[in-house]
Amino acid sequence: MVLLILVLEKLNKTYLSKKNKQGDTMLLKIVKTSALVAFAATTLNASAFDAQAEKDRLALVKYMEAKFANTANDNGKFFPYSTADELKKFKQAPKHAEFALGTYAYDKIGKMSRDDQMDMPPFEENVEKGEALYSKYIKQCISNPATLGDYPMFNEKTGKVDTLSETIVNCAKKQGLPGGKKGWNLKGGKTADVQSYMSMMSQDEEKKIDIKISSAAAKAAYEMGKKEFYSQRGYFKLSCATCHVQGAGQRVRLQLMSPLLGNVTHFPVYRVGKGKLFTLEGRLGGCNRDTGEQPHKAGSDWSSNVLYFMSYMSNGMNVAQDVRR
Amino acid sequence: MLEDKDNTMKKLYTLTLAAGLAFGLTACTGGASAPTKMATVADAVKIDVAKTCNAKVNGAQAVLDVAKKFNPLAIKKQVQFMRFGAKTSEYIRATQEAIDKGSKTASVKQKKKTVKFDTNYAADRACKFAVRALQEHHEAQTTWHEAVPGDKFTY
Repeated sequence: MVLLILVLEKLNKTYLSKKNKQGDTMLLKIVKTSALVAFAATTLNASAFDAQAEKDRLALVKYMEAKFANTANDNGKFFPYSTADELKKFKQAPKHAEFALGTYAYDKIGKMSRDDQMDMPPFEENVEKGEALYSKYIKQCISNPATLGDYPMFNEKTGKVDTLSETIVNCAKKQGLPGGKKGWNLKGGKTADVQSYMSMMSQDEEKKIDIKISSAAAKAAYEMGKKEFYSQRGYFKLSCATCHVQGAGQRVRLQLMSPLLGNVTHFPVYRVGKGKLFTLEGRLGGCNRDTGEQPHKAGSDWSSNVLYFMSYMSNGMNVAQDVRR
Repeated sequence: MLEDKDNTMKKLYTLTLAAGLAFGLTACTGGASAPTKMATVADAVKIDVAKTCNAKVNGAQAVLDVAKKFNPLAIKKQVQFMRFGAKTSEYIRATQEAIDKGSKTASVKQKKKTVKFDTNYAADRACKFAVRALQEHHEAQTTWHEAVPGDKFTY
């Protein structure tokens, strides 16, 4: 836009000087004003697409901070099924940024065990494999590896959300799935290894989750993801929010449930019990199945849009690959 | 003159054959797509699951027919239930097989093993799963707001 105005001014000075200067100056003013109005309208409009998402995010931050502000004196308000002894063991009043640790933002005992494991992270080998795969095959599609926090992103050309897993798998497909089909899938394997390396690079550069909603179509995808996240489903009649918003910090058997806020920051996650890495798609499929519903396929609009919504909720939080039980 | 007559006859034969073929095809496809009442979510919402999905009272086949009516819609809406890897459609298949064989138990294939259920119980579950999936889907269109911080969720 600035360039356009400069070009117009140059034109005015060089070619139009011999003509009726007054009339041309008026014309230039009209063009300039129109250009500025168009620019302002475009900017305002673009920012309006994520207005509701921002409200949702801030309301979630407020809720999570309030919920864990003083669990020792909860008296059944947020944690009706937990004993007072259990709640006293929580880390009190974690702030927004700390939720990037997920459950470990409030699970003090769990975090001690996690810290021990992180002295020698079990996914180090995956990072190495991922680096080799990235350099050989993926670099030509994703030039900067420190961009894990920019995904999922809305693809205006296709009108769909592109997750990082999809971008990696599609890139590998273009090259004939090097090393065979096995491992280039959306749920884990080589795809997760590449992500593991990208996560490490993003952490080195202190990158944050940075999801953009800059069109009406992107907003529609976000809204669909949000609706599905909060909709009850399956024979257990559970929504994702049942466990990860209202249920965050509540206990299922011996596990404290993780919060939606900061939920995507530590993926691909290494699950000690399974001994391998999981991408967001892999974990989402497991959660979806646990509601008692036939899980939606990884890479479906449902899956990608839910991840788009979830990721936006963690905007501004540090990328931090981690281990889980 | 004779040649003209032959040509006309040939044309008549072709026309008759084409007309016959068209009539036959129309009859076949018309029969296949005869207007049948499709199940709707609104129909599912009206159902009292406890009463309708009771094989002991209504008979296993009648209850299973309710499941067969509604589950395709649940699949279309992507809300089909699944338990231990056995989808509602598997309960329907296994129950129908048991009814056809006159067996008292239905063998349902789960993810890791095959489990035998009382046929009436399997019919009940198929019916409840098929109908409840749609009822829940209908409820969720409005109730989801109640869980959203900053929307209708209060604390």
